[in-house]
Amino acid sequence: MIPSHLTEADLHAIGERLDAIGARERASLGQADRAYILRLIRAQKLLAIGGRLGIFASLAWLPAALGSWPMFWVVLCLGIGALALAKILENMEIGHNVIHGQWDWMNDPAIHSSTWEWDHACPARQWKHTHNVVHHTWTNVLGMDRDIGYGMMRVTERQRWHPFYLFQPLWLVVMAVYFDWFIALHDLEIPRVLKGQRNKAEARAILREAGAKTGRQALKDFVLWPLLAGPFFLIVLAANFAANVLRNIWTFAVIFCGHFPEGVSHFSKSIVAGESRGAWYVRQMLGSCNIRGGRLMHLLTGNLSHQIEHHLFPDLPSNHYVRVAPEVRALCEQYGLTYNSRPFIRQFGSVLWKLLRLTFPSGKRPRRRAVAAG
Amino acid sequence: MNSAAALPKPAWPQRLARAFAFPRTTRDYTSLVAPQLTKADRAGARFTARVIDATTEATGTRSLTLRPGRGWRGHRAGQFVTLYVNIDGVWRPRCYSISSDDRVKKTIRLTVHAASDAGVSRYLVDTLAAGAWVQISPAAGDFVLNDIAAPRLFLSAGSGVTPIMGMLASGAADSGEICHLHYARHRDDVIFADALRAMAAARPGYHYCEQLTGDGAPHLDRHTLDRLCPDWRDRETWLCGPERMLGTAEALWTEAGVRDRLHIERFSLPMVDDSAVGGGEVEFVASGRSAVARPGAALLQVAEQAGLNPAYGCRMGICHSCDCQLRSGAVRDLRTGKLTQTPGVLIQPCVNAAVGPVSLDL
Repeated sequence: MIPSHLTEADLHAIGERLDAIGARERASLGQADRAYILRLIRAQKLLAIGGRLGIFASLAWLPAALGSWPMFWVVLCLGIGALALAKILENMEIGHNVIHGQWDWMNDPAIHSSTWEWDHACPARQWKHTHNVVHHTWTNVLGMDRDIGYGMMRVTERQRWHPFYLFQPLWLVVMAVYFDWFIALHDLEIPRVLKGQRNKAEARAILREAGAKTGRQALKDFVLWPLLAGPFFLIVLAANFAANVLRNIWTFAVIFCGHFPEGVSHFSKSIVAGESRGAWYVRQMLGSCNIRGGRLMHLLTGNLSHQIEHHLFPDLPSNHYVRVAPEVRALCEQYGLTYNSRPFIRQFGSVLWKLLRLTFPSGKRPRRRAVAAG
Repeated sequence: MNSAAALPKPAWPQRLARAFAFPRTTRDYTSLVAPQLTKADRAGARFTARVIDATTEATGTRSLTLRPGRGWRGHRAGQFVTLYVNIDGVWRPRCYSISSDDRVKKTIRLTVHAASDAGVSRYLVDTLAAGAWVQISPAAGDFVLNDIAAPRLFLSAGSGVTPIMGMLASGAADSGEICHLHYARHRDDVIFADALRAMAAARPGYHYCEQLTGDGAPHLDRHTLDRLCPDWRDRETWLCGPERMLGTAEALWTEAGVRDRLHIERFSLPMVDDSAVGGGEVEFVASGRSAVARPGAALLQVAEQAGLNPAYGCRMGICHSCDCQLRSGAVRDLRTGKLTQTPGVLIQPCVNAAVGPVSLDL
């Protein structure tokens, strides 16, 4: 629920203040922002090339050639790391944000939400529906935001317990490893398909589109590039798989820190009827959690470390979130709202603990001190 | 992406290479070392081009010679391109007529006149330097010469001479009879003055006549036409100039019953009155429907009420599911009050309202 101490006038003032901040940041966009995204895309491409070259270069130290196992492992791991990093940057700071329309203002068809396809199993078109539309509009509204547990997990006491949730710890691990494939299936809405609530032709079309994208991704990483290595096919396949899994585990962790940590709020459907702009903003702030960290953390999380600011201004270029964050925090303090921001380890630790706890049918929260930091 | 679907399927080596680079293209990677090979977009609607020369023609007027990159298919004399230039991080589009010979395929020349102190044209005239990268659309427009074997009349005013210059440079004056009336304020304002006078001296069939309104010459009227080109009713006429001149000519030619011999190119868009409260006729080009928008009504809603079923998402301007192209007219963002009136840009119809007549690609 929206905190009862907020009056209509407060909500209106919050709405006006945040609208003004957003308008100011949009007006400030310019050459420096364009230079930032171009530099980032260039660095990402070089990392991707470097990573793939590194993986192939490592083969030179196999026993048949230079014969040095330690060098083989070092070069191989460097290659895997660079490729994983390239995928992380592409998916988060570049892909996720471009697909949000954050860079559409540049009127550049090469960097535009209508044309960008990302290095991810999920087709950008489907992601725009499940993420940009459903999740960002109905954030943390039970029964509307399908990102609450992704239809598989119990992430809040307010979801009714079911024996299915006993598998939650197992799902957690499987999902972390194969996260991009889970996301590729997200728009299909499997629970609705199983209950027969979904038009079959529509479901088939979505499955075909997701299958085609996942297939092309797999063809590239698990067939074509490994084939180039000839007899060392399996080494390159394993390396590419490792890079994909590293990317998956990291993105899984970051995304689960966005809306599932201890202290985050969930809302009933009744809240959205006639919801004002100000109330929408408040719901976004109470339903999102930040990760406290430095510039590297912001870059590697695609600025989802500023999840609160991202949910307030989803189509504002992500490099501006760090600038508006202090103002958003001050606004929260002024109106007595929780601004949930903690270091990664604490945020992710609280998610894991909560998900384990909710595996079991307890509806009660354990007594804890106030969770809102700062 | 209908235009992308229409592109020919590449040969298998390219498709294989692309499968390695998926979801990027191989060119996204080759562009790291050779940006000139990069198409500005995958649909082929924009080409990267390099400014190889920039020459001042007259006061506030400059010719830019561009070398378009791969995929450029040339133009026909009289056509225009949409030029995109990056200013403050944004690719800003403006249409300019091509003033160079259409038999030359490797380069094109655009001639830009800056009428005001700000905006894209001013930037092109004052700031853009040779060596810069820009983007251009394929050549477009049907303001081109026809095959009718009649004498021709060219009418131009100010920078309206650019497409006419393109026709003359492409050999229009090599044969046949041409009368060219060009209007300008002062002698110094005449664009291509030297080239036109030289052509008049060298080509017996080409008669060039300057009308300097700043020195007392009247604007286009029947009297001038009857005096300088008495058989104007019998000629195929090409006209490019400001809106008022076009109106005068249309009236004269219609009155004479020869409107079909008059070919017009518009180069100025009527600017929107900023104080307009909004609302207006909305044309949905792709579906061929239209509707009248109330002031302050979101265009998405207007489209739905007109029976259209466009894609949409959040309906509050955050998800960009409903983005569509503004063909013409002006729209105002209902959240920020920002006015958008650049043809060809994408707008969010769920949070934009019409300001006067609007045409959308829906």
